[in-house]
Amino acid sequence: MHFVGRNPPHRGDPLNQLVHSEYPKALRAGDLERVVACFAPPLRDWARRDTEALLAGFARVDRSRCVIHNADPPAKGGSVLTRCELRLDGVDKDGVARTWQQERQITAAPVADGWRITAVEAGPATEERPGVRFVEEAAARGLVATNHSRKTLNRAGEMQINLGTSGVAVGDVDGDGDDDVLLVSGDRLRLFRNDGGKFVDVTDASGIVTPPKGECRCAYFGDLDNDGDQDLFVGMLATDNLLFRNLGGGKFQLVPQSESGLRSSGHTSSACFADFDRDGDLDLVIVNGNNMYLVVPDPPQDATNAHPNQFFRNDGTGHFRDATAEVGLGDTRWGLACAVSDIDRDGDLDLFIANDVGADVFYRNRGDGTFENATAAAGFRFHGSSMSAEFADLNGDGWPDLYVSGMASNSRWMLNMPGFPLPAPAVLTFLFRNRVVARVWEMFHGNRLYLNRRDGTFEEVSIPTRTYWLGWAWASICLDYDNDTNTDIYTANGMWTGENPKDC
Amino acid sequence: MEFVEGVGRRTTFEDSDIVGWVKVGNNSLNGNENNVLLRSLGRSPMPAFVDAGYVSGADRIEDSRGVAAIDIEGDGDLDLIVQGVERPTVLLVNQGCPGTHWLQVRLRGTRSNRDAIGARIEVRIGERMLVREVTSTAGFISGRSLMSHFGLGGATKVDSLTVHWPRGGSKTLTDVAVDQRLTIVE
Repeated sequence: MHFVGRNPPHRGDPLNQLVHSEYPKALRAGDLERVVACFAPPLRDWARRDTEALLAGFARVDRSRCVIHNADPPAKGGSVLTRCELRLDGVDKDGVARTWQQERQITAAPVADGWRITAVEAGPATEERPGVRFVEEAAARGLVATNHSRKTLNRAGEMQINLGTSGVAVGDVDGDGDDDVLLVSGDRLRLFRNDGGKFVDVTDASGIVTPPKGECRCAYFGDLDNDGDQDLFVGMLATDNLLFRNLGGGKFQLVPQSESGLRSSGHTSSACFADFDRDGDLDLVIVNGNNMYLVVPDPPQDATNAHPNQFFRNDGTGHFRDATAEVGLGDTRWGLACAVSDIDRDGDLDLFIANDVGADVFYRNRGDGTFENATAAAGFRFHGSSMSAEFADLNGDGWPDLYVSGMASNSRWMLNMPGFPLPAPAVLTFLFRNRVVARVWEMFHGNRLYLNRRDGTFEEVSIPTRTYWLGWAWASICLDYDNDTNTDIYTANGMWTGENPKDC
Repeated sequence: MEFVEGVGRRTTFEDSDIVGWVKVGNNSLNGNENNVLLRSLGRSPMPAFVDAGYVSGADRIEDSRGVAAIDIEGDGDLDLIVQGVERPTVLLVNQGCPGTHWLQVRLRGTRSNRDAIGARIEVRIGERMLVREVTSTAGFISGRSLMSHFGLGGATKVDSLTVHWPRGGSKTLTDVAVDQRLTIVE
């Protein structure tokens, strides 16, 4: 990502162009002379040998990147030391896939006609070869649908695709023992019955209807009336949320809001069912945000002007009562996701809410289904761009750890350069750096892994575990995909994925 | 966000194959971004990961948002459903994990809520204890399966399985056979 066009190009920009863009692009092209030209003359013999050795392992390079994790302020002469991760994905001479990765400290310096690499220090290289494989089979299995946004008005008065939608829910709606699938496109809900690994679209017969207005965002199955089948909650944008009661066998009936008691905010991000008061039925937490295309987050670095989160208490029959205030929820941060776990094993469920443009909040259950804000006490730091949260045991000690998605930007290092973003009086720069830049720095950190210390607190280890720099991340889920007993992580990325000429 | 250039402005629709497919062209915000699959290498002293996205075929480049894990065939490995903005749904079918065993557990509460959401399941194989909590939500805008999946590595039997129910109390099974779907009633 690059920073605003209103400012003149920052003097750090050529560094991105050289290290993050030109160097890996030349490697991918297999163009030895172009790679060598990235280096200053004294280094060119080394660069030639290094590049030949790298490329010898590949018959074809499909993808290459050199991510700049950090950069030191310029030394004398303007040279900048950067800590990078160089990575090549491709196939070897036998056609077998191969990922090669190495941490490198790359120093670059300005010369008359641009920038050149003047020093390289390489860390140990790692290589990943094929193990368990995935093959895309949506069409062959009948899970055919395309996600579309109904669009929303933005501040410029244009119709704009809603960028934070396209959810999915998995549950056994017909009670036959396998999981069926609800696909949540902005303009349409579709239910697919699972027949032994093949899918049949049963939306029309199911009674699940898409409202004519608003945008569908998220969905969750749960047995809300304890009658043995999976009911359905759908979170909506720009219209009321939906509750469908399963009448049995996967036949659903829309429950009017007057009957369900689920008052809607008009901008729901996500939700979860859980029995927070341990009375034997599922309560509902609804996480709400706000429309970023129309409303400016305020204050911008820690916004609290979204719709309040909601807590609905179930009376045991699937009828809900708004109990937000009495349980101590209802903050107005820009919520995007929530995760539930008994993090301290005291027998009740605690709640983590991941917020965009502001701080995450961890709510500890007092034991009676009411919550206290224990964010700082539990060791959660300001994150600022959280998109997704999930508890799972990621270090194998049996206790729930937490993985939170966020944005990573390759231009983040520019924030640490003196004078960013513009020369200004020292006192203003000081205030700006401490109040704003430090927070923006955290916002573009990427994902975070928090390990449970088993005493009700967490320790962030995303940098030593190298689990942070994945992209503009949305959903992250934890699963053991290769059945080796260790918990793996899958992260969905992308924000207008595509070529970006300014930033590889 | 205010300091980002051109958020959601100059979208073009050029790809003719699929109506509504977003052709991003030269206005991507963060470059070409693929999904990432971090394979855990183990636990000690802290978990280590390596990106197996490319070599496993899970590194889709599709502006992905919601993701759900699901064993569509009941064959003991987890498949992935990946939803993207203005994109067709992606179903990544796991081609199998040779040499490994598994166990899938579905709980039914009686005193507790019927789905047993909030229950903790502990599976012991030798010295190793695998723990899952039953939850309704996954990651971002996605609903999770109530079927708890345990990869068991090379273990050919589960020494013990304990369920801690949401309203208190627990139930323990010993010497549980592997490679099966099990329903446990409170």
